[in-house]
Amino acid sequence: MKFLSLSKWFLMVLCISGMLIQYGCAFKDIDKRLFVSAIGIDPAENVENGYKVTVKVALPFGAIKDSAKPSFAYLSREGHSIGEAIRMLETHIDKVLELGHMKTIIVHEKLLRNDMQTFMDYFIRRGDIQLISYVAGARPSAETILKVEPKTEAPASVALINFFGATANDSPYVVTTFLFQLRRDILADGINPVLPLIETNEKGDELIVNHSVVVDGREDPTVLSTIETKYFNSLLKNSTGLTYLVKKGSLELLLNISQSKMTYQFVSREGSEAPRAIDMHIVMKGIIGESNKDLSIAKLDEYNRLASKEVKQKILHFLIKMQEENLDPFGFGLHYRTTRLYTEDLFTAWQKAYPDIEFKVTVEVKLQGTGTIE
Amino acid sequence: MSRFVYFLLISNMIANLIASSPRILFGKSEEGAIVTMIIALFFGVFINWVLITFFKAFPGKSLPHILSLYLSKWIAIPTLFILGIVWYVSGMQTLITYIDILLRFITPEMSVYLIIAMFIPVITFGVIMQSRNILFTLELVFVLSFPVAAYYVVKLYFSEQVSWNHVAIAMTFIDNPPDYTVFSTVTYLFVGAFDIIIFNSLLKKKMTFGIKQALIIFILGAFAIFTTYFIPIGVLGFDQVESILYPWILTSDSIRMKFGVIERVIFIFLLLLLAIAFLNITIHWHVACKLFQSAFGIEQLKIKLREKISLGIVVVVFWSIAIYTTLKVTEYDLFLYSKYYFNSIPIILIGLMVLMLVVNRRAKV
Repeated sequence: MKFLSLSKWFLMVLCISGMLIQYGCAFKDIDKRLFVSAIGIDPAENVENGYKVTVKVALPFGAIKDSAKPSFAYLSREGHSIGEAIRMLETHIDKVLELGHMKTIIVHEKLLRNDMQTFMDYFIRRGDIQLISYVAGARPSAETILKVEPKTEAPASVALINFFGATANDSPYVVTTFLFQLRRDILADGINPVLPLIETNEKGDELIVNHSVVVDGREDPTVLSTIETKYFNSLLKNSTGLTYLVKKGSLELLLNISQSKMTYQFVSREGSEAPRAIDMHIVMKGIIGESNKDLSIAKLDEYNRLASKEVKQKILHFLIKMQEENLDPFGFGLHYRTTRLYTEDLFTAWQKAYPDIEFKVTVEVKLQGTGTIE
Repeated sequence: MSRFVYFLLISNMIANLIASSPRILFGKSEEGAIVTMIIALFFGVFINWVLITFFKAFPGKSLPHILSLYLSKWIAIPTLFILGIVWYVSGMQTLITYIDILLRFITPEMSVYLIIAMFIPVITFGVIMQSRNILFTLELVFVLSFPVAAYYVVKLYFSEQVSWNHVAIAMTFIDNPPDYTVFSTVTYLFVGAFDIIIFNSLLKKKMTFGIKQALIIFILGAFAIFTTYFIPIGVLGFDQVESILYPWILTSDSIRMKFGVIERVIFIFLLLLLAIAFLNITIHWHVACKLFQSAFGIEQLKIKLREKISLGIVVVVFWSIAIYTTLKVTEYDLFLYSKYYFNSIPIILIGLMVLMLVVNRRAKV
């Protein structure tokens, strides 16, 4: 019995002495740290094949009441690699740069190529950077975009974060791409990642996100127009709050689509495995949001037909444009790989077939009503 | 079957998520992982059936006790010694992996010695606890972490970040011939219940292993294998998934709670894992400790003090080896040695089962 209590004593002393080693804890205090809220990457001007890294650092303030506007500091540095530039940035400030809360990575438009994985590598390899941070393209440069401080930005928040991830802004024109998703799509055969493109107005006090970029191997990445971005979002990501403008003669209808669903199948060529066509079926549900004429609720079927025809044309146009550019933002190739058992030439067969593939699109618009008035 | 057997089984399945097993599976993703996983699933249920059927005949007796009753010392002692090493290495593997993860993801600036120092008192205390208390700890941790774990699993399966296309691509490799390493790795998922070679001394009730129990283990196993293998592929993509060192950490980091208190699910995951890893190390080392004690005949010692001292020696030896290895081993070594370890598991299990058969025959005569 006596020994037992001794052993307990021993354990207690051991535990307490463990605490003694924690003289100041390995962490540094929060006021000794600077939190990076966004990071921007541009091609370097002075270093060959290098990068210019700009970080947007949130400055601490006492209470939200005291400060009307969020305050940021911007630090820039050029280097041969991202990691090197960030290491050098740490010598420009008196505190520790903390990247764990960094949520947005902004990349210059010109750097959005397939070889971007060479510098994105840094962000994935570091354990403390979130894989759910957003990646976006920037025009004219990442630095300009970072330095924009929109008037709508509330204290203790960053506007760049609210745009993405559908927590605040849920617009169908905004594509959201996470860091892990970018890595997955770049490395996967049969899909091209799509990134949002952030622009600013002439005065430089607004952020505008309604274009997107399809990342591929080429020097000049293809930029999707506003309309194309919307189609991409509605077809692939099932985003809500879409509007479509349908014109027929003098009648103009604006459809508010609340649901859209795309399903497709591959049609094989006779006698061979290679696909000949893609049979695509799209169902959209919604109501009429705006019209320049009086509408009749009894004629919904007619409006449906009208809308289906219009939407089909636009979608087909978009699909064919992507096909002509040999881009695959929808991941048809990826889906094709899932429909056959693996063979070594499966994907090359798809690559050969894709430029000549035929799209057979049927669109079914199901309007639920004409809004609150006829 | 006692509920504790299920707990032991499940804790081992979860602890394997962080260890090297997912990486080994991904490495073979184009060389027959799928077929082998299906074969190993049936084998896993089979070994559990053998185990329970064997111990059914000896309610309330641990393996060292049974061996000493029916086998000569010359067979019993080496067997116990080898099993002790297997169990010890199993716990150590979890320990090293977890220290590695702590260093890389939670406290990158902390010294490795400090992290080990934090583990030592907690795990030592766990190891020298009575077997009964360990089982209760196991149950307690399970009850406490179940809601979080259930939430996490639901979150994983219904998260829009999981690309089921990639999962389907992984499945298109179903027609490849099976692979031994994958087989042994998946078999290892099922060895959790083998901890009852010691804990059986507390399970006094007669156990049954019928269709129902087999089905439960089958479903648990299928679910564990599916989650371990396919969910990271869905999140991280099929192509080049084998190049990721900690697939499960990155997977949890890629899942987000849009409106949660914290957005990054990874912190829930790491906390959960800390609890399970602690359990896993404690249980395995406790079993190893008991096995070594019986192998060296410490159990027979009459004087309490000497028994305690010998226990102390075992624990000190455990930690010396563990600390030395943790400091020496690189990530590549860990992966490589884990592979060797897993490869030896089916052989040891089959040997153990043959031994059980022999004992069973002798007991009947």
